[in-house]
Amino acid sequence: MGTAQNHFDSPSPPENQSLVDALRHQIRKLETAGRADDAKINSTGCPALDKRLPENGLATGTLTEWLAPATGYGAELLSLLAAREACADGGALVVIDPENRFYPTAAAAWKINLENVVILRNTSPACPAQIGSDSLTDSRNPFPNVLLWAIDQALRCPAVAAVWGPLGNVSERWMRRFQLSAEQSGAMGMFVRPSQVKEIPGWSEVQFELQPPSAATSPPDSQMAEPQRFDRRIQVRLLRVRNGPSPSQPLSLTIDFTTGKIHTARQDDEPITPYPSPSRTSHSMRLASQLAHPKAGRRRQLA
Amino acid sequence: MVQAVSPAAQLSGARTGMPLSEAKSLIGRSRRFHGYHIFEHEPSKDTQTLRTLAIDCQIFSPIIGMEDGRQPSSLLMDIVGLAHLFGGELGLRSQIHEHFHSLGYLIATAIAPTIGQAWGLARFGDESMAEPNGTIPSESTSHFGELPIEALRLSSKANDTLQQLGLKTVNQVRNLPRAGLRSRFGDQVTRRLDQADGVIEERIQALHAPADYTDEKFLDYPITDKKTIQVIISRLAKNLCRQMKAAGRGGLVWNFQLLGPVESKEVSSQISPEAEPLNGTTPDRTCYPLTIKLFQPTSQLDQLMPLVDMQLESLFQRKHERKRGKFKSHESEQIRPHLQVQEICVSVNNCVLLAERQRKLFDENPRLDKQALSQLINRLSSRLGSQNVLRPRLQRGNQPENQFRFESLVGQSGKPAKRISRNSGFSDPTSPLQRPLVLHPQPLEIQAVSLDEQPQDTSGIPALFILASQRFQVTRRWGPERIETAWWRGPTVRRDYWRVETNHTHWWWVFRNLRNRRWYLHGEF
Repeated sequence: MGTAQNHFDSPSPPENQSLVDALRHQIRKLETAGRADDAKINSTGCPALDKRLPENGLATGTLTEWLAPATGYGAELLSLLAAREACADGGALVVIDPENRFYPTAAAAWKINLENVVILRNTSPACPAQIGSDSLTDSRNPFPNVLLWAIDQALRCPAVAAVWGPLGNVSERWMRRFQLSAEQSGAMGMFVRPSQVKEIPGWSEVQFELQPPSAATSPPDSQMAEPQRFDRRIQVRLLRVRNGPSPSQPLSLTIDFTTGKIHTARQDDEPITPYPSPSRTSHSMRLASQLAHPKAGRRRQLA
Repeated sequence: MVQAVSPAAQLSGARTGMPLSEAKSLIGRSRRFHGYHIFEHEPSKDTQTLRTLAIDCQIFSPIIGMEDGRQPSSLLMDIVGLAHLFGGELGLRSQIHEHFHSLGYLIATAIAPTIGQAWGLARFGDESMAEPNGTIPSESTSHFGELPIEALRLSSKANDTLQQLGLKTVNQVRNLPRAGLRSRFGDQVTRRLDQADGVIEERIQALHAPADYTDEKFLDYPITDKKTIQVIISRLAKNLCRQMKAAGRGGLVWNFQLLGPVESKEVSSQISPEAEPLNGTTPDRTCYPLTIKLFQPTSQLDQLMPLVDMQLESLFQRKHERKRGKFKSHESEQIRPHLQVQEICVSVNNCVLLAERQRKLFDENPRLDKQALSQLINRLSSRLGSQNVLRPRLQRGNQPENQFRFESLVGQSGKPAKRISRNSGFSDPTSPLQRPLVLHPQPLEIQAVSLDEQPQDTSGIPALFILASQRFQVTRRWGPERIETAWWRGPTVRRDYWRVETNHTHWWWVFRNLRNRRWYLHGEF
């Protein structure tokens, strides 16, 4: 007993590190039990964003959230480009369009193969399937449950490569269902969501946040008078990656008006620190040490 | 009671509505006849024969139906855009007459802009009135007014009352004050007048060809148990699947009709329109039709039954909701309505030959598994409704909202879409950034403001937009791109589109309507 106490009282840093790594690995295994080990990695459609991700892309069978304060910040565009990459192998793209605002002409211009697109809507105000008590009914959710069910079904289908569309305040249980369905089939969920949901714990693998471009990259007033080019600027931040690095600095992207190619506006972005990042490790070590040495931790606090 | 008499028998004094014995004595006393035939009146057989004739007439028009009512005796045909195929309206009409003459029928026809006028002209107009020519709409309207009031398709009671008032023609009824007609006859007379004049739209309920495969089951007494209904449907569908498999065919549209005894009026009045599809309901029975349209044809029972169960579940849920609503208002257990089924009919339309699919020796890419996608679309369409599971199609046109359309994925025979070549009028944006990914179905009007310190520049675009009481300053803009429609597509649309970036970093697609000079937000990038 005493030996064991001594062992826990003074663990060597390498052992501690390996313990935390093992625990983290186990948690990850539990959370993603259904995912295939050889999950394919798809590009986001933007090389600069790929570099920020631990696996240089998005794994199939995962959910990705693109958070934006409102429509028009570019979240729809970046997420659609990621969905396009996922559909490169010929799988179907399921578009969730609850407000009938999807514009196929623009999607075709972005090289989306409309032959493989399935659009889901909910035009019936009193859809029969909505009637009745559903255990997953969320009164705060503006999304009808029947459409959430449809998203779940689409993510579960092996012939679907990606499900893309807006998703409001959806309960955590639905998100868990989506994640399990995506893991089962290998489909990818690309959801555009309001920025407010970043505070809510979710089951997505990756969260990006779209922000207004910083003042440094704002155009000079002269462009108002001579708009020869109309390249689009988007500022995106990697908010969260499951078991990945901590939130990074925003990345400024520019979309070329003529070609539609995306490139970084600033070349001085810091390279991604390989996993595990120092800040995450120190935080995890502190937590693990407190759990392993409750008395020591309390003594330290009292001192 | 005499239901109908031939023109020759009418000469002897026999009339519809008189007792058969009286008609017999009249004809017997007449020296014109040496013998006569009496046929028993069978309304259901008449209706069935008329239906068969209607289906035969699909060689003239795809939209053909029967008039409303318990004993229909007229066929209605939509010939818009078809007459030139038969050498004009006159040619079409003569061909229809020849067709019925070859079948042994003598018919009266009329061509008019509304169902009401055509019905009246065919029955009460003479040949000169109904002669089709280039001025049919105006001509028939004036002729129609001269017809007797029976041409309005009113009830016999209303006809009698109008005649007692001394009214003889449609025009005389037209000239009466509407309020007086409503107070005396309800909305019957005014509705029929409006239908004849085209104020109220009346549509032809098109009949369809008989199902390719059909099977039905009659029960001795009505049943209410869902599981029993499921088992019976399953057996009927299994039988049809077996027949189709033998023929190597699969069904795209499956119809399931659950027929039961008629519900009480009190219960029926509570049926909300969207919750109770009662097509096919007649005064003596209630019909609950379930239609399953599929993405790909099938003769597999295991693919079909989950979809049937889903729709059956929805049907029972709706009944359950009705019950709950009923209890809230009446608090009575005794009037609880049940879904009672006494007859189940399964039919398959749109059967096509099934393409044989060779099995792969090695695993193929699951993304290319069309069977899995087909099953997903079938499931989604069954629950969301076929109008909510769509595929986009690009089409020619300049107006952004008309450059595409959405098609239902199910119930169609999989005809590939016609490819639009680049030089055939399809406006392909040169840059992907030229069109927004989000297009508002209805453009939102925005208020344009030109401040003194930020004057409207030479391009004509204001410095500020106000949307939902929020100000958006224009920081960058590109345009204008003028989009206007051709005159042959209806009212001309003329817009100047701009892509603007606001101080909130929104990217908007706005346009100025050159007709009313107002600004609209049409899309967001």
